[in-house]
Amino acid sequence: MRFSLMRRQAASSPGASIALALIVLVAAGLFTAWPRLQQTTFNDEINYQIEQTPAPVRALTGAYSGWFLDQGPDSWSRLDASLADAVAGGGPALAASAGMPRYSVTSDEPVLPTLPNGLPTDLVGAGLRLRLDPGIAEHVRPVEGDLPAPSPVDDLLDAVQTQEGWEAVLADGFPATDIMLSVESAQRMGLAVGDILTLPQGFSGGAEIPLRLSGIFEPADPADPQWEFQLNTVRPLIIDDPNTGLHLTATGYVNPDTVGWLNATGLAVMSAEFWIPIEATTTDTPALIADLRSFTGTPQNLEYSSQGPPVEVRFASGLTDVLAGATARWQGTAAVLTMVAAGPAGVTFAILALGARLAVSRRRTTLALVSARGGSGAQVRGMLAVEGLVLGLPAAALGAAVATLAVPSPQPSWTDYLLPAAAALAPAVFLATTPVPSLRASRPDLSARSTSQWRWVVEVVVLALAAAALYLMLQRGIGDATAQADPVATATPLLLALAACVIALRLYPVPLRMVHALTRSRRRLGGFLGSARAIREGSAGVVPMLALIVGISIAVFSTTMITTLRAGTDSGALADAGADIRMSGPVYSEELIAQIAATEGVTDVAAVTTIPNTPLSEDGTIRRLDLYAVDSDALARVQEDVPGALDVSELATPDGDTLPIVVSTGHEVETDVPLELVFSDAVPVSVVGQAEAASGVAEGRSWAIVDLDLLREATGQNLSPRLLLVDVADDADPALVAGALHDVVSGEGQVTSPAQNAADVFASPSAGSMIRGFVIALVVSVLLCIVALVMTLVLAAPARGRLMAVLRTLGVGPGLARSLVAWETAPLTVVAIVVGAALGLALPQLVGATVDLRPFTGDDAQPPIIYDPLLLVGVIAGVVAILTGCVVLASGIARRLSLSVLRIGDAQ
Amino acid sequence: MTTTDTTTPAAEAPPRGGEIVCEDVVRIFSADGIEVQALQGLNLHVAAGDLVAIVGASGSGKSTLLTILSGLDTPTAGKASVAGTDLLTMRGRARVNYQRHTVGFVWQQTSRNLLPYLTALENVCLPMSLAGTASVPHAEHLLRLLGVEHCRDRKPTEMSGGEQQRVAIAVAVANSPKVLLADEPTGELDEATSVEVLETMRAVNAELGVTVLIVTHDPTVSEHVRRTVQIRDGRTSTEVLRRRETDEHGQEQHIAEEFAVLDKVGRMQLPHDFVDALELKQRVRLALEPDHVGVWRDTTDDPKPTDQGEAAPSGASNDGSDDANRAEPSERPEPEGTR
Repeated sequence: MRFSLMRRQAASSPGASIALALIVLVAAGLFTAWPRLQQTTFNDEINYQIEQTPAPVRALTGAYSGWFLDQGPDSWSRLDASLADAVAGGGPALAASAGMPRYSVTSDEPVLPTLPNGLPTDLVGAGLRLRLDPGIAEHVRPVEGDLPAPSPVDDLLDAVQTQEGWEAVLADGFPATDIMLSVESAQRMGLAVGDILTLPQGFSGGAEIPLRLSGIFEPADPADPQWEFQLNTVRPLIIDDPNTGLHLTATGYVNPDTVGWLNATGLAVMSAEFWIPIEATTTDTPALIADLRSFTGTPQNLEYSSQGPPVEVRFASGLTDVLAGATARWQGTAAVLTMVAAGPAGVTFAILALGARLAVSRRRTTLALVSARGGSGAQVRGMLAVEGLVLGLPAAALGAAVATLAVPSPQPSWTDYLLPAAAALAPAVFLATTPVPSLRASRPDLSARSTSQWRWVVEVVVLALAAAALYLMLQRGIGDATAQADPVATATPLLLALAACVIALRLYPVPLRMVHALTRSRRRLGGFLGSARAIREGSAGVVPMLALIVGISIAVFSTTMITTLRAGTDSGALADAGADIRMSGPVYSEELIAQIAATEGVTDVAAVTTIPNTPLSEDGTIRRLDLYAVDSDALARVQEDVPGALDVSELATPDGDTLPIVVSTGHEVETDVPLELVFSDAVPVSVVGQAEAASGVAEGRSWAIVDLDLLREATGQNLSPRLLLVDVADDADPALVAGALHDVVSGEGQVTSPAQNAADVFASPSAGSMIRGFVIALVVSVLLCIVALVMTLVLAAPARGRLMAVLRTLGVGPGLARSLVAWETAPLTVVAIVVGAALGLALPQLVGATVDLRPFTGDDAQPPIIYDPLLLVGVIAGVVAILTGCVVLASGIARRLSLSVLRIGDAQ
Repeated sequence: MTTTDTTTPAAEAPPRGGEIVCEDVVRIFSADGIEVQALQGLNLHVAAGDLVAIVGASGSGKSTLLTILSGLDTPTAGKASVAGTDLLTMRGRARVNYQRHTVGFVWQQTSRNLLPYLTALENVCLPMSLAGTASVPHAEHLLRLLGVEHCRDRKPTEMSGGEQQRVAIAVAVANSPKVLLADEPTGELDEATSVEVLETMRAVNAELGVTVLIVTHDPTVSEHVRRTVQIRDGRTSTEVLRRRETDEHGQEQHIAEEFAVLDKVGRMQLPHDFVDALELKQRVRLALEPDHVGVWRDTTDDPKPTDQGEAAPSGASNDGSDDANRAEPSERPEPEGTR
């Protein structure tokens, strides 16, 4: 009986209950999905960064110099096993991300063979390096011939037992040993399969070493990272010496079991390279970073020989830095997203409370009657709590389940379900704690004082909490956001929104009174009555005000953050590139530079010649630095708008024979001693400036910049630039110009524009997820605003209905109801827009002061917060338009609802 | 005279009802700078099993009194008890028990008595179920007793006003309370239905022995009850007792006697028409006679120089109610309006 009564009671006003359940459903779904999305995005970001990192940089690489090869039959497989053990011992995260360990052993210095067909005419020298790689067969595709066979010399060596025998072998000459070259290497050296090339004297005794080209290969997969690790193998290394000509060095593979032969030739010093590729599959970045650190921190002992000691190899990886950078970037994202999400999450709970109030008010008669007929507080509240649980638990479970299925999480944790659980319990708690209505006729006029006293207390507490949170956040910044969200950082924006709401509610009557004074003299009733009600009935609810302020502030905040990050990224990218377009790679001749300068859209070209490892003599003491010779006049023009550009104005005016240079602060020089750049002749220089960085020109810590023409004059050398910084006309599209320039240089080298780099920055998952997070938060906030406004209108419907009933009897038309509804929402919305916009403009400053945004922009300095007034006004107008539409719709519904209580004198 | 046992309870059955005792009950609503004294020292005694009507104009405090008696509000001062339960000290659990077992009530608006989405039977079962004693046969018995068993499975919207109020009475007595409170039970009913409902209440009073207190401003209600108490400005002022007597000719006569209420310290209110008729203002002269008290207009400020006051009594004794006015000689009743 009791349950059926309860069910009847619950079913008596299903609207509010359904609304509550729906809000819980959506909220639980979002609350569940949010942390999972964050984790997923974090992993995506990390893996994206790993993928973006060139394979050789991200891999664990190690080298061993010196002879350690062993003729034993199992030595390679022992080494394989040892490497696999090392990886397995490096920790589970490393083991999960590590690919198959690889290694090769290569001779250090090229030896110069005698080629059967003579040296091709275009070369002045051809060297050959020998390489052992037991695993190479998987990475090459023989085009002609075969993989190299084991050297016949080994058998011969085994057969020779006596000195006489050895002498005989030396006299007869050795049989040829197989070698395999890439197609292009063979071609450049003029070799065909089967050709014998002879290495100069080797072996003890000085016989020639014949090699037979057993086969030529192409990479099985040209994109195979193998060839990024083994450079100058598929294509021979060709060094262009301006004084002599082209020098070629090819690398050829010999059979891995020819260790004995290699040993006997005594040809070369061999070095081993080891590399363990890291795949972009990590799900636990902190563990991977820890594993990488410990793996690279200690040398690995690799077993090779059954007799010799293990080889000690120290591995290194550029990935730790990449991951640390990605983590920092993610922390920024997480901090900003948490700040954005806190507001709507808080508003959701506020709306659940409002919904509970609505549900209770819809059946206040029933509850009052039940309570007066002897329903104890525990009974009534218990009933409401059970109803809240019946509404909340299944809805939350469904929402959480859908979110769990829809958003896979790499590291599910029970803490992800705390907030959904809170949402599940919220209706029960709010329903049970809402004051139970009483049948006793209430006298709101007689209980005014106590409410206002409590209001002051609550307001002061909210303001104090907001101030304390703000102070804490500014003092200590954002905590480590990888594991758990920083509670202060999470709560601060919400507390600030609450504080703004408190202030708004206090200030709200002031402009309204002015409006009211204006409307008093007018003839229309709507404005007068509406403003009077708004002032005197205090109908401005906390919840809709909070929802509106949070919604508007998120809109403004998100827009500003995107503008700021985009501008910061652009300027960071521009600083990186050093100009609108950066061209690098091949040698740019004077004609080519003239052609580039003549391309449409190009206004200026500055050439940069890099002379690495140039000795700088300070009073006889020589230290090396990277010298950059620049077109200083052109560079000044090209880098006019580039942040962090070097001041090159003094470089072009020499002081007699002395060339002015700018030296990096990373390379400290004595300026009062004679300084000389040591080329074939010494060039006296004087330091005219020191700089920390030279955007787009210099890299590293030790560098100096000098004028290109002056340096050419002083050295007499024709220094060819390999880097061009191109300035694009303001009205030209850099992307189009870059395309045209790409054609001008016939696709050689790299042509990059900062706009491209900026796009890359926004293509990363963390930047993408930040923008998605902004959009989700904005959409949710607008929805919450609508729900809050509708609920408030519905809550106020009975009172409005009674008022309308009275007014109708006085002869007022039904159109007034619309005006009354408008007056219930419009002043609220206007005040909320003003306060919310102010809050939204202030929040980015808070983010700028507490969150490290540099990882996003790639700039060295924290980007300045940039407001785009036009865009902001547009976004606010959009939000207001949506809200207005929904309020008009809602007021229609609300008016319909108020018809049901059109009965004068029906109290409550 | 305070209320005494001048009325006779239903003598046939031992009274199951509870006694209502109010002594100097004060209820003050206060807010910023405003104090509204709704009850200003109200005295009322209703004997167990009695059927009493309380009449008064709006704002006289009768609704406040009923709210207090129904346990929804607590008096500011004074003494109030219903069936032995002290209403001033009643808290929490005791209040719930009081509302479950001691009082039942019927309000003016039918919408406030019955839950619209429950049938008559379910509405009657509701208070029982709240008390944990739901019994369908008992509920059916009550509906039958009140003559609305045909409404058993109807919702309030499907019943007439009179039926609704009778179901409401059944709901009110579902937990066999000792006292039944009714606030304007006939306020929204036409005359014939009102009579029907009032007769139903009388039947309930007689059948169940429950004490019934009806608050109303409808003067016709007083014709259906033994005793009518008038409330004015937060105090009980006069009472009308009705009885039927068979005179010497064998004819039954309805006799209504009006009394003024005298509190413990001897204050009483003179009826308005008395005051108006004699133009009594500010103060009156009193004289103690062997069997009554005389009240005269104060003529000291009258323009006539010849008037010697006592020599020309222009006042009147309370005709027809001599035996009700037994003021102590030492106490002088104060004129209305002074405190």
